[in-house]
Amino acid sequence: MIANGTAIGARYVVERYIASGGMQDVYRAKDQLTELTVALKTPQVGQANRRFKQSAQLSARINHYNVARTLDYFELNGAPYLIEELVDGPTLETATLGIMSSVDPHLGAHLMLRLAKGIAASHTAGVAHRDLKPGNVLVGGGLGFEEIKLTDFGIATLAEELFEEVVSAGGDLTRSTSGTIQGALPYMAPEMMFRRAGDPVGREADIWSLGALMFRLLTGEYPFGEGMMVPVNVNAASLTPWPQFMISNHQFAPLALSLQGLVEECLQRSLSARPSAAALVLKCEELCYFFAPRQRGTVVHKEGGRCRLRTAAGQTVFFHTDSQYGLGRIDVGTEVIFNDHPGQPFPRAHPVVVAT
Amino acid sequence: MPLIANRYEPTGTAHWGGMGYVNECLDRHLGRTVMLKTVQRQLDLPRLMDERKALLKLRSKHVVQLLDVVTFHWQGQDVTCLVLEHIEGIDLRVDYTPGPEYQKALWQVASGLAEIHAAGVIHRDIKPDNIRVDANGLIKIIDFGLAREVGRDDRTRSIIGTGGYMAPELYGDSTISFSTAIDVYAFGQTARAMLGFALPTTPPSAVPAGTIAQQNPALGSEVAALVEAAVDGQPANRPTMAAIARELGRGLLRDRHRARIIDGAGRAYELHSGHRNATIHSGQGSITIRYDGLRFGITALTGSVYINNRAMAVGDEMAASCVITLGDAAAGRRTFLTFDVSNPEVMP
Repeated sequence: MIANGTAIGARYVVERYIASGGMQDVYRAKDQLTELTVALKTPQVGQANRRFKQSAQLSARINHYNVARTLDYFELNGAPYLIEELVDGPTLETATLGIMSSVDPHLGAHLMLRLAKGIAASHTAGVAHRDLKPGNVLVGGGLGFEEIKLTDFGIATLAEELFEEVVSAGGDLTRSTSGTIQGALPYMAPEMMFRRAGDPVGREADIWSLGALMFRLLTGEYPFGEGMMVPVNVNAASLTPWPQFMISNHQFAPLALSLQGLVEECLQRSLSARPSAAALVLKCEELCYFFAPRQRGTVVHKEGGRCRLRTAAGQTVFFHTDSQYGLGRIDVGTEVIFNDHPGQPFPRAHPVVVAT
Repeated sequence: MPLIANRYEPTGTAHWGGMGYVNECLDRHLGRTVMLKTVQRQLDLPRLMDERKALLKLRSKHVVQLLDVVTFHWQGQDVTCLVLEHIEGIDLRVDYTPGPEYQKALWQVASGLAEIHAAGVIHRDIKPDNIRVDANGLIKIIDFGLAREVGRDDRTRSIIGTGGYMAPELYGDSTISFSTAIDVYAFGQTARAMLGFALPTTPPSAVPAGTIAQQNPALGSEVAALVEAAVDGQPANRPTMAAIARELGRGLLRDRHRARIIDGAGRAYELHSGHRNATIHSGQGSITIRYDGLRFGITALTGSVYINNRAMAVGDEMAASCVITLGDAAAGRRTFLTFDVSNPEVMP
């Protein structure tokens, strides 16, 4: 643990510990030279750091708005340090399923387009992430979902070292007790899950993982279950059924069906059948959706389908229950998350999602 | 010479004074090529620091990235260098022909400048030599050695810049105030230079209306009008870079938008280049929307029609996403429809 106020490499002053990423510690630090606040990452004691530099060099090749940028890398007293652009916010998992039971199709389209762009830029730079999951995406800007950035390309290669160990020890990857592998399994492409030592795993694996990640966000469930059930279900091509709530409201059904189609394209067993990231970007750009920064409010009035809610700032907003998407019942007192549109005498909320 | 700052290895014959003041080095930590830039004379060090300050404020994919600042000893003197991203590629070409490739390049330059201006920076030396195209076709603006902050140090007594690209208001002998409009002018001249037009280096004279379209008949009236507006003699008449970027981007996305309208009964109406018109009726009114390749506009209305609760008229443009209401609240029954559009973007 690095104490607050410690200057690393005479340039980065640690402000506070942020999180442990499983294999590495992450700190918030101030770059004295550029005056930027950055993320300082260093492998945890006992973790292999052979590939830390290699992964830093890989991610440094990618320069895209939807990928957390690698700013610097150095070693001090044998310890490697990676300096990365700081995203002020939680992981995608926390930012979405932490506050709602599933992501509505409009927010889903907004997220999928940005994730596809980040992956496309990585692939253009010749880098595959190979460990995409909601925990490896950072969201800045709160309910605005303004900054969506892929991170932890470093973890991907570190994790790969762990995979190699398990695989080369004759062990079945799917029977590993490692928390890192267990956390990755629900999103892991079959060619990674069932690989033999030395088998190359390419960029198509990222497309599968994006599909699995989007399934998770859109449904609140895992596409192939969890733990030991994942390899069984992947092998049987037994995808968790899409929930009825996605298409039960006709206002949302067309977009929800388009997204389901894209996710299923990503989750094809055949590598060549999956779209490239660049093709996926174009497909996402074709989706008709609306996204503005979301807001939170409490329902204060309900008469039939006609409701009013109030935001923390005291603004009253009108909506009809026809605009509700997803599970949960709306009553007076229900917390909701919504987009507002101009209206008279009150703005109008659409879509409206029950907060959890 | 040994490694600079224990990590930068000059890859060629490095000179840290005289004329060679940008040197290519290998960053041994991240295994990438970087450029170390210094100034010719110690006297010019403030300019290097101005550049550092400007670059620190900018976060644009169209702007060269500042990575590090190092000071080291060379031939008995201290040398301070900015460590900049190396952009593998070529200078902005000056042999484009009018067409989508040219317009895409122009759009990228405009987007970069719009972001620079949004950060409160004036570049002051926009020209093809200071714009690079990387191996992926991404355009980056470099050389912020003359950059200034909007509203802080935007006055000068000396004429500085590059002839042909300098706005008319920069010529004169009194103290001159300038604004982002000088970059707009230089952008307009760059747009002309990219087509092979030889710019006069004398103080500029007014460009008579229609000149640019005449010089480049293949350019298309929309782009020609934008370039002409950019080189207007009066700074106040020039559009902002943000407006220019928006217009150029719109043109590049012609026919790539889609819109979907869903009515109260769950019927969906799709609008795109293969299906340009949609009419929605309800007992309370009707609306016809047309996609002309650039915009979704209202071409016919009957009864009371509101968009986001504003009364609409034929000719109005649809908002990017909105709620359409047919009928009046006072009259009782109303029909609500949602209108959503796709979000195509120009890929640089």
